[in-house]
Amino acid sequence: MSALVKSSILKHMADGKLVVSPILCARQLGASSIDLRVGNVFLMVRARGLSVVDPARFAHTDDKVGDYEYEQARRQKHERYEAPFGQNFLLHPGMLALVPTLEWIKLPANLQGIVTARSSWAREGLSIATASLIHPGYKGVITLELANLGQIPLSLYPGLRIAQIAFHTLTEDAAAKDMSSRFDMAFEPAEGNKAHGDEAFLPPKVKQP
Amino acid sequence: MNPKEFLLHECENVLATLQDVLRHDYAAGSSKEFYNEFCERLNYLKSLIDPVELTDISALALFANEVSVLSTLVHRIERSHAGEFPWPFTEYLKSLANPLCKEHLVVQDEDEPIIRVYAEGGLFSYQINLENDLSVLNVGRRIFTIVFPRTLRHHVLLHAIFGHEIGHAAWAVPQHKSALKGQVVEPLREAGPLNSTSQAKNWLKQSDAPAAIVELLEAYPDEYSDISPNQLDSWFQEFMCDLFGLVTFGPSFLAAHQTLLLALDPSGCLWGPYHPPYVCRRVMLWRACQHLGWPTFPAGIQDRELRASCEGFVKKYSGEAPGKWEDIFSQEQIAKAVDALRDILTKAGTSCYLMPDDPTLLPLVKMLHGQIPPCGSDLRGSEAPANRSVDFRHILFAGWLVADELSAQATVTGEQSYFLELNKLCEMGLLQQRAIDRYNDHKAGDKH
Repeated sequence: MSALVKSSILKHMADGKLVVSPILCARQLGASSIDLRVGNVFLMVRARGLSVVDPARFAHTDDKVGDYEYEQARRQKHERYEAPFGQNFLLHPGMLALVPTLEWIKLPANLQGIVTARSSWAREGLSIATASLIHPGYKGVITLELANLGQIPLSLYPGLRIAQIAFHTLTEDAAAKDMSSRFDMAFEPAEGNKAHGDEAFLPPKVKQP
Repeated sequence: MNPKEFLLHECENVLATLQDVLRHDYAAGSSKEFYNEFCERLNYLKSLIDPVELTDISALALFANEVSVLSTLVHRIERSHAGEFPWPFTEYLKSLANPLCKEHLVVQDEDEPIIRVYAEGGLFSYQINLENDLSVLNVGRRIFTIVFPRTLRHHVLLHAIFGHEIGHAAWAVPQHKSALKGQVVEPLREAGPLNSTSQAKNWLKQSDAPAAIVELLEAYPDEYSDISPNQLDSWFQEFMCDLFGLVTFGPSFLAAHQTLLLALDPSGCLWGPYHPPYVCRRVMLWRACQHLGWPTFPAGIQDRELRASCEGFVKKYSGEAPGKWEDIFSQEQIAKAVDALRDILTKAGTSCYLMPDDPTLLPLVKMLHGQIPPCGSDLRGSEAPANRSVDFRHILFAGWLVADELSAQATVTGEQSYFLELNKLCEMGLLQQRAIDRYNDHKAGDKH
């Protein structure tokens, strides 16, 4: 496993195996990474009467999709804000927002992506990607988890370069069955299933009468 | 509280509501303009109401109506959340509508309208609400409100139907109405079965009318066997707007038009006080495509497979039916109307749709096949990316071409989710194209 340098990244793109679209300028290409820009949707986590992160809510999800309680709980947690180019979004201290990249990414079976902050923003207190691993075979926008760890609000604009993605080759191609993800073909941030596979540790399924 | 006092009180209420709605976030661009326009109008209206005598009933009634209109418009701002409609598409739509809707006003020599956008319920809520002539409050800019169906928020391919709605907007602009009426509608009216109400009635009862029409006339003779002069006027405005949609949006308009109108009336034969039967509109569009040279794509598209796909597409979505009951306009009439319309649009500064060439359309189609948002992005992996400017209407056309292919597969597999995914890819493509254009424009500005 090794990290790709710029020439290798460009070769993968020229072969059509790797897609990062659009790259607006040469400056976006680093020595071994590509800068990613802020997209135009902001999902702000909000504290409301029913906002809670409880994996038990996700257990046995197949039985719950479409249920009032399940759907309401999912949507109560976030406020969606959409900003056109030229309009800012204030990330206040202590706030967490999920933001898509402007770029659409497609990874081949033999590459994984690592997303990190651009240092200039990290120095202002912006934490960008805590879940930074992008699986081989992924296609879609990348969700950035933005948190302001500083003391003052940060003004973000769609289109700003805020994160970067580096690419690592894998020892061999990932198997097709391992590459599917519920976030595949993501157009904007969505929450994940925090219970999947861990149901044994959660309250048992309630039998319907 | 007498009527005059109440009107002044209501003006204050409208202002308070206007300020209250600033709590919400609205689409960038025109919110400030809208706010300022409103304050100006409210102040002007108050200055008109102030000196009115209580005995002047007609003036009070007129002003009451104006206050009510402002109250309705304020309520619409409250519903203009950017997240409820595709704003990248809206920005492109504005770029088509703005030059056309510029008008000579009292205060400014010429100004663009303020365009507000909101989402409404209902599958067929596509519309552009036009403000009345500024007869009383002739102090500022006209406000156009574009309405998207909330449930079709991501369906940018269907939004090509707005080409038709821009036609209605242009009709409301005084300097275009006479030209559209005289040069586009008149050629359509001068001959054919809709030449007069009596001919139209006879046409409905012709023996070669589709079975659905015959059944309709038999079942509801009182409702359907008469066509009034006003009805004919409305129908011709619809025909004009359909041509408008075709000329401004190209083949995407054909597909959106058919998808939406046949969903409303699967027989295509129903008509109403404002809308003629879809089957007639479809044949008219086929004749217009013939005139524009689109069925054969004489230039531009050389790739054999793509060319066949384009030709099949136009054939599928426009209705070839020469000589049949629904073929109500001659080729000459259509040619005259289309040429005049293109001329009016060009003079107004609104670009007519031009068929793309291979280097423009092929990459967009390939990107969609590869599940990549279609735009002018350079995917070659070049150290100096050369992103292209792509007309948003080509993105829609590419989207519809691929939708058509996938639709054929979906008929076999029963899988229908492809359409939403394709729409979302195209919506994302429009967003990315705006980023490309914005960046390139800025770079070009720096150079100059």
